[in-house]
Amino acid sequence: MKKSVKLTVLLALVTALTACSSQPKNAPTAAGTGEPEKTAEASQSGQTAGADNSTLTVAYRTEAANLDPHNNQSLTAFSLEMLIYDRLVEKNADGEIVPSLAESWEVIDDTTIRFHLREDVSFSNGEKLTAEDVKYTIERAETMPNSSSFMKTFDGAGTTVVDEYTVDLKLHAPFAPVYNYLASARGSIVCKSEMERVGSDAYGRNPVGSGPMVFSQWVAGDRIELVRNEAYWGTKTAYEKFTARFIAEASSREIELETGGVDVALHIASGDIARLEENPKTTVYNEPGYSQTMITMNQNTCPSFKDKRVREAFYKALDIEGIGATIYGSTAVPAYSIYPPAIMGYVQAGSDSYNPDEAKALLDEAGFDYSQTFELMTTDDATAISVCEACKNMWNAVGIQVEIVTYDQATMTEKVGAGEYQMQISSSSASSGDPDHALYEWKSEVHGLNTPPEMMELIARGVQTYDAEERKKIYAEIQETGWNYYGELMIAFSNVTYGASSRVQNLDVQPGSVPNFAGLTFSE
Amino acid sequence: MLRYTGKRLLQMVFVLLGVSFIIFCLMEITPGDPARQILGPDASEEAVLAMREELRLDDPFAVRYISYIAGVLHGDFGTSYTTKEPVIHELFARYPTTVLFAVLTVLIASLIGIPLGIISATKQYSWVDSLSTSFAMLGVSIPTFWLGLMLMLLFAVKLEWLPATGFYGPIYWILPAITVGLPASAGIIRMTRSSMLEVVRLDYIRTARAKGQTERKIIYGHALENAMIPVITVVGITFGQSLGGQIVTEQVFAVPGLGKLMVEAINSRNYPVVEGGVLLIAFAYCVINLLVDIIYAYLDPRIKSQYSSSVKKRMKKEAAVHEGES
Repeated sequence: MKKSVKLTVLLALVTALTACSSQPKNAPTAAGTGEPEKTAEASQSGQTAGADNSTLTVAYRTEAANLDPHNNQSLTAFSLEMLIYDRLVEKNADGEIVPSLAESWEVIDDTTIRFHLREDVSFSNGEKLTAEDVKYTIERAETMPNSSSFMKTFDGAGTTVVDEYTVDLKLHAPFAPVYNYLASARGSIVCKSEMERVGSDAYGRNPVGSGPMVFSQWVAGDRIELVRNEAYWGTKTAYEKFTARFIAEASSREIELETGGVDVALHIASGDIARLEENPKTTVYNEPGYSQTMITMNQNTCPSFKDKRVREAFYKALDIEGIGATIYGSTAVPAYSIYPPAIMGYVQAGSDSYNPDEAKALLDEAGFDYSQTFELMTTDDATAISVCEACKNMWNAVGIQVEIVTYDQATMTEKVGAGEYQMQISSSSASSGDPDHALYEWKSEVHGLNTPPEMMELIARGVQTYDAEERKKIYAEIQETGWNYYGELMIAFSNVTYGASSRVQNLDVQPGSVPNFAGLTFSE
Repeated sequence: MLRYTGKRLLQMVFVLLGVSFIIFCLMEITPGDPARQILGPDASEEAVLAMREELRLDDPFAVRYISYIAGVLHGDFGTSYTTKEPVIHELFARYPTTVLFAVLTVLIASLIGIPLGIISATKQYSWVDSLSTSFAMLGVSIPTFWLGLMLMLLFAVKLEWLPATGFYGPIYWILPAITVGLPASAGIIRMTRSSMLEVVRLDYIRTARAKGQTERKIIYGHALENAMIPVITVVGITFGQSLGGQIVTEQVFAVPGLGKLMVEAINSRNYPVVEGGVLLIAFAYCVINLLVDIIYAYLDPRIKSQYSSSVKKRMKKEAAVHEGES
């Protein structure tokens, strides 16, 4: 009797465990990979990416919430939108604006541009792309809450359809960055009829575009798959399938690249670069980007910062070169202007001016109250925390008391939105690559920079000046003015660091971290 | 037994209500506005307010809580703020992966833990014992994050035997399951060992020995079954914990499980997904606990007798068992 009980229990345990394991064997296929028959394909593509040129697999850092160009803030989504959709114009590798959906265009006046569209473009649902879709897209981009702050200068209501393939794009005011903005992911043209039929939310999860790749399937939490648009009007992609995998952990992305599981890994950690460089099977792309890291001193909440001498002292107490070398290594350069060199019109406005004695003298001269403690807000990002700690120590050396407060991204976003902070470290990347976009914080009141009126005037003039040479001159002046004002403590300009298989060629290392993989090829 | 199970199921309803209330309160006091998360820091104040209105975030707490519970009772767990898909879809797209992962974890932990624990106990102070106790020590102290990366480096990069990340098929399951199973086996080893050591000192084992029973029969025939009760608890707890998703390991191996979903949902203040996910985890935990208790009953007649409805009968039986024992 006893024996039989024991046997039953053991058997029950074993069967329970094996039953569970054999049943869900299909479960993750259902959950993890959509359909069972696609599992084999998926694992194959995952494993044989190293040998097979028909699929391009890219490891992204985060998953997108949707692929609607006007309804998210995700760099991953932007990058995929570059493949799924087309834009009126594109930016080539040299940063020049070239025709895309628009074969040609003419400037009618300061706020109107007439675009002549290609007539051979269809969306993946078979419908023709016409001027109606362009007008609809502009109207939508201007009003959707997620894209409206970016696209607010575009006048959707004023944009007119001249004929089926001609559209007059209207602006609320002269706007020099117009082509940069139209060439960004936000400028992707969506299908009006499809959007109206299925609604924004469904469209975002099952997007319809006219680009070189067509959306195929989305496995939540794991990957998005695209297939080649065989009817594409332009140059077709060299690969048939595109798989975007979401691998949050930087080391895992790097390892996956080394094992050949992915062809391209975005955002490689600085510590992994040497390893990938040594490996003959992988290549590292470490190129200047649009990203800048700075510490903002909020004058609204800290009256001490209203005194320029105090701000200058805070800056001169920092060894920017040292921070760059020890924390960023080869992945960034010390920041000596208010926006990075990869952006048009850059001039080096400052230089290494680390001088603790001078900082102390400036503070004394300004009658600085050494007893106060400043709160420096940061996210839990390891690099940001390291920079904060280095700065804190350097400030302590001249007698400035700083306390580092770490928040998660959500809390920080809310505090920044409300302007409720004293100092914050932040990294931003002007994904459009336009200098006006890069000056965002200077234009916004919540950051409490108290941007001097003459600088605001220059910014307003810069954004309305179409002539490139003229515009560059204005931005040179803006950078000099902003730098000498010490409104923000500029720390570093970060590179875009990608790892790729050595077989990968023509990788577009877009400085704004929104790579467009359409032109990528494989060597044999 | 049925009545007992029924009572436990009823209790579960209250546990889940309590959990949902606590999580609702916690989300309420957590800083970070979901509307601001969806729209980004550059969005205008009006846009944020409109979004708050759309998400009904400005309704009073009680109104939101009651309408949430009412929805849940109708099987409606709300809509994800980010993907706009029903929460129930989001959760069940990930849950099978998590369940499979949990089963594999428990399987590996038990397959390593129970035999090693038994050997350790039967051969106390031998080299096997010291090896397995130090292994158990190591197991509880190794961070899974580090272990996962090391296993990846060894098996995926150096030896090229296994793929590094993903969860697409049996070959992909091995490394993540070992990463979580190995440390989890440590607890099982320790529990099996100590429980076994306790049991083999009992009188009935001495009697068995006196009878001239072989050592093998004594251990596997008499001692093991009684020693398993606390082990089942540990295995059950491990399983219950794993059903909550492996936050770190899922991140390292890019496994699309519940843990990864929950972390993302918390980071983006995606309240409906967090609430639904926590309820699901709590529910799974309750079910596992109940199952463990039922397995107890089968393993131990004394416990089974307690489940019978009449207290008098139970007392009587207990007394009988005690008498029989002494």
